[in-house]
Amino acid sequence: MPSAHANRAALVDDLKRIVGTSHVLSSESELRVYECDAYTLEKELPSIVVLPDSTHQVSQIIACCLQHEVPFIPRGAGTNLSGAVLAVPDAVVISLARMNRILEVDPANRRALVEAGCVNVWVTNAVKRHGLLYAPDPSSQTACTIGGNVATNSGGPHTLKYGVTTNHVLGFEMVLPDASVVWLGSALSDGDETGGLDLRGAVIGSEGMFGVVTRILVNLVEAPPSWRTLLGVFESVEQASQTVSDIIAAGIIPAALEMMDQLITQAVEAAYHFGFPLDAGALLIIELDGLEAGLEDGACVVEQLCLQNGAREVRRARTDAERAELWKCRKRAFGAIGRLSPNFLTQDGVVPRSKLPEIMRFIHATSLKFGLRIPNVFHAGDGNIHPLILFDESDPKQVKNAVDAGNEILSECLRLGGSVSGEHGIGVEKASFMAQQFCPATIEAMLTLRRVFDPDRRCNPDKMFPTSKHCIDFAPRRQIPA
Amino acid sequence: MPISTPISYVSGTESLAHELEAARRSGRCLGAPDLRGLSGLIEHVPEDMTATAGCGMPWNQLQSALASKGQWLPLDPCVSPETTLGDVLNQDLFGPNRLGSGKARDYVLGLKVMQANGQVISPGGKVVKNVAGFDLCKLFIGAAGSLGILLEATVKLLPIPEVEAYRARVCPLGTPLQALLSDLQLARISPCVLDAHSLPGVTDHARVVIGFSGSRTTVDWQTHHAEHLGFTEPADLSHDHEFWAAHPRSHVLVQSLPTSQLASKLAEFRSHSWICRLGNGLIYSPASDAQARPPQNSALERLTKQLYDPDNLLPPLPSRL
Repeated sequence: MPSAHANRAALVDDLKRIVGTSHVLSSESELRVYECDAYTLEKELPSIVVLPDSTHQVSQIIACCLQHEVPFIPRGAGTNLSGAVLAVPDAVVISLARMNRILEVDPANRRALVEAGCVNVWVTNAVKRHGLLYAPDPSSQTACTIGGNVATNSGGPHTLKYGVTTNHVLGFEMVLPDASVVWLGSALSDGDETGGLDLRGAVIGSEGMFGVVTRILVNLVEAPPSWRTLLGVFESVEQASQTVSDIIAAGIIPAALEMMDQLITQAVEAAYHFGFPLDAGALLIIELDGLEAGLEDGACVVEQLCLQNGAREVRRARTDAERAELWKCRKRAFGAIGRLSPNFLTQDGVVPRSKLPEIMRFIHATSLKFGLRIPNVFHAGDGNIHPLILFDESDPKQVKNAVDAGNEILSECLRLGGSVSGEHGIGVEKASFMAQQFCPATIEAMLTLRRVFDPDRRCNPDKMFPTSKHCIDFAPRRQIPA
Repeated sequence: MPISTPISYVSGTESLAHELEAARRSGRCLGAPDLRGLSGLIEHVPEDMTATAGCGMPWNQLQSALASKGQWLPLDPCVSPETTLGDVLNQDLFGPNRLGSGKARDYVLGLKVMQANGQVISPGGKVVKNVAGFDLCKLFIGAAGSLGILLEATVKLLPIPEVEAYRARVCPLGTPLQALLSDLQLARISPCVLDAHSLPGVTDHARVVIGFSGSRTTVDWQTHHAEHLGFTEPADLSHDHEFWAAHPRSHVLVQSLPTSQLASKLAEFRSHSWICRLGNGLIYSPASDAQARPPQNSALERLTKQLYDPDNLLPPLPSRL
């Protein structure tokens, strides 16, 4: 009986024959980079990482994994925040990093065909000379990949007006766990409608558990000709939250509606020196875009609503550069947390928009209860909150408190009629919440869908649904020494 | 106990579950389900711009109820008074406003579905952003009831636009139509409707209808620019209503192609009656017997059907185009 070591060695050799020696990573030092994604509370060293550069190679890799009876995990840039690409024992991680090309741009039909490893912002950069852009803009867009966006149905600040990934992906190529290759949805030569079942839509957001997406046909939208970007400065989160409700009630659908509380504002200002007021209770970034005609009217209404709700001032971005700088500060807010804390846990709950004040009060109370600071930066227009629970990983008590605080916030989101994830996905982090959010019959129906694509659960196993490995009483397996 | 969860039977559907069981025992398919007991507006939260309704609710009644609070579900399929919310979602129906507002899958946040085994599931939820679990809503919408019986839907809404305006012009098919479409793109206007339709007894020209909605300022500006491109005739959406009144959906051929190919395709079209969604690459024309073909579905679709409805109690899969 060959030893596990011999089996692994044989697998490494087989993979090297497929992609070449330099594209198979098997030493511990090489694999350490892949021990987690942006959810750093759990780490697991993969067995092997392989970097293909074509769909054919991906198919061969999966066939090889089938032959060696090992699971495999597709991975984009590793920016996922819920542990969706955490390795499992014996797993081969298939990194799509080398498959990062923009294959074709079709401005007349407002489409582009890209490989799964293509970085999100590269698409907009490639098409903006045609007056087009790729709308889904997660804050990690300078690093995250389109394939990863498909896996988690990524959103971003401009989701409110433009929708999420599923609204902008027409079709894609995917290698199934049996190594066969299928195209779901529209291909480059097709029209937008294909009829039949929307398996394309069912796969988007499946967190890489149905197969490996290799090429994606995305829809492009016309870049808005004009914008008005306002910054409302409020004394409290309640005032800002009420303003959000009033804007929506006025029939205005901004392109983006983002909130930052005082703690995160202070961190962002220290990092980027935009000129944010450090004593404001909350900031609201409101962006309207579209035709110039009518935009100023809308901006004036928004300004008035801010002032009616107690805003001490409402600033406007006067130039493209100022607007870009404001968005840079917002999108890099998570990165500024390092000034406040060695570690943080990001939550991603959603509540109905009208419940924003209530959940914000609950988060504040949770912060006091667990003795942890919780700054907030979030997509106020969607009700998608991102409380950032600050802790020190070297203190086990803080780690436990952070996890417990996050869990209580998510439970409250559900109690208010929301969801445990608006855009980061379930991964391993929130698997235990699936049984709280969905009844057993619904979960079983989801598992039925998985059987369509991956009856043997070889592709990215042990994610999304509760297993014996993940439960609410989390205990970290590994901590970084102080 | 999950927070937002169904019991095994939604009120009024016990008989439906019994009918499924009876159908299974007798080895026959279930007929069209009677959802008249699920015909109410269950919840409308204007401040969240969401609503939940039974799938037996007549479509026009739903839109009227939403309109009382200045909101609508922005789909405008041509429907009869009997068409229900469930019909629209099962068939993935849409109308000319598809260009401006999208389709049903863009607006459904959550569903209650009775599966072939009689169990009720609740995929999705009630919030406008939600990636928890697999997106079964996308699967059930447009599935023609082949995977489950839609009982309830939670949808997101939009404010009813302040103003709508439509203009039309006649345009020769072929290169002139292509040039017009290019000019419209360059004009950087954003129509919510861009349709073409055949003219009686004419094969080399079509009538193009353009529509705008939104604030009065925005609509007036765009209408003015459209008039500069020859859209001077006041118009409405009667072309769409007349087509669907004359041709039931079951007898209409749908062709979907990239929008850049429409102009040349229409130039060689020989159908006497057609409408075209110029902004979405769709051509609708009466289907002849020669164009009828058996349903086309992929192996994955057939497997999906087999797993969700192993006893074939529910309608067949919708065919691919």
